[in-house]
Amino acid sequence: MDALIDKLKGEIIEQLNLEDLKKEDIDANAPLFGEGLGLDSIDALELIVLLEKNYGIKIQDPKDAKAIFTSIQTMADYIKANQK
Amino acid sequence: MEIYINGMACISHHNTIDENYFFEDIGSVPLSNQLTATEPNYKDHIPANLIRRMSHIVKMGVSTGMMSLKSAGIEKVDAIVTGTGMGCCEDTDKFLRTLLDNDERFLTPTSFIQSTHNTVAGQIALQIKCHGYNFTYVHQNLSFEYALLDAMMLLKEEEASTVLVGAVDEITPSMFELFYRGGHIKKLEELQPIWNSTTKGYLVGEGAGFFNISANITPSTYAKIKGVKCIQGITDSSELENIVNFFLLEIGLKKDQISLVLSGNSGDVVTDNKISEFNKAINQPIAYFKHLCGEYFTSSTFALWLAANIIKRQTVPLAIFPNHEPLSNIQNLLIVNHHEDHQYSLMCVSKC
Repeated sequence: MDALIDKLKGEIIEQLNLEDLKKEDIDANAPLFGEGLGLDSIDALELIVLLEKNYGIKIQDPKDAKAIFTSIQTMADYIKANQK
Repeated sequence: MEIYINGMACISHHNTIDENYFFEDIGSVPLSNQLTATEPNYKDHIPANLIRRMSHIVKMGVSTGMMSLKSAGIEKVDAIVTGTGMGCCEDTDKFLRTLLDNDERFLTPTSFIQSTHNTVAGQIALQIKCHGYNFTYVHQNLSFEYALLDAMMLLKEEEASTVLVGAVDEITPSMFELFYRGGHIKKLEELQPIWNSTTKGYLVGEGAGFFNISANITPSTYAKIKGVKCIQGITDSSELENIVNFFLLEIGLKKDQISLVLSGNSGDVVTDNKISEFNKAINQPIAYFKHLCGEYFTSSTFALWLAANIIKRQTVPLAIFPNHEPLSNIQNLLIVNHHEDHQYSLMCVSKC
């Protein structure tokens, strides 16, 4: 799980151009949106594409997205539970 | 109605972001065939949370716009008008590559959103909370000139009292590759002073120039814009000469009142043919600028920035004025630009 979280942090930094952040700056349990990383709705779309492209996971019900993208930890949990 | 340049900023290959810099260190032979921009610290001009989504061209445009506002000593304008010849190529490139590489799947929104031509004008408006007129012109080599004409009309029709007008273009690796393979860009072994060029091709460049214009003169005023004219191609140099004569008549100047002509020779011996003939015929001092900024669709912004600076400083950098005695009492500058002999433009700026 730690390796997956570390990989996710790197992918998020790259995909969202979070140039000033390093992996160690990101708390896996901190909120991704609002507080914490302070991401917004465009970033949410980027994360949906990241999940599909890098992990082959398509979010079927948009209502689930809020829970999945709560933090990097919840993203990692979702990937682990759904990756084929 | 007179139109004044009350603030301006320019990002170019040289250190034009430094207000004190004026090409003192430049020789006549260019050092490269690709004149990429010398960039400022963008974080000084754009909030960090916005920068991360901005590509090179957007950062150049927005920061130049913000620097222009600072130069004019104002924080808001009534209208924003921009021009770009090629738009946001880096983001367009990225978007199209993703489309191809992923078999039209996994398209992310950011590069698509940021690749529209109006991105720079829109981002400036968001940053300064300007809800007024916001427009972008995309007309190849005349993109900036049409933006400027529109901005001047807004002032003349009193729809705005202050307008931020500018233009920006970038060169990306894939554009360089295509233009080079197409024979548009000079080979490195063929670099010469552009006014003595014997070879085909130009030096490719990129940059941004923004101007705060208004009908009111202020302590920060650089120069006044006497007139702008767009020309969609000419048959020979005598036609250009006739158009220039008519343009000067329209703005109430005689040929001998032009202190200096800033000529848009690109260094391409073939496509510069008509403008070189014109330069000889006009019989006024000629200076050149494209060895400083390179050729790009909105290089006229660099020329206008340079002209307004020359007017305000009352000095012509040696780097652009080969084999001439220094000029004094510089009153009127005529900019004659062209791109590969397709589109020509005239701009005249005068001392206030």
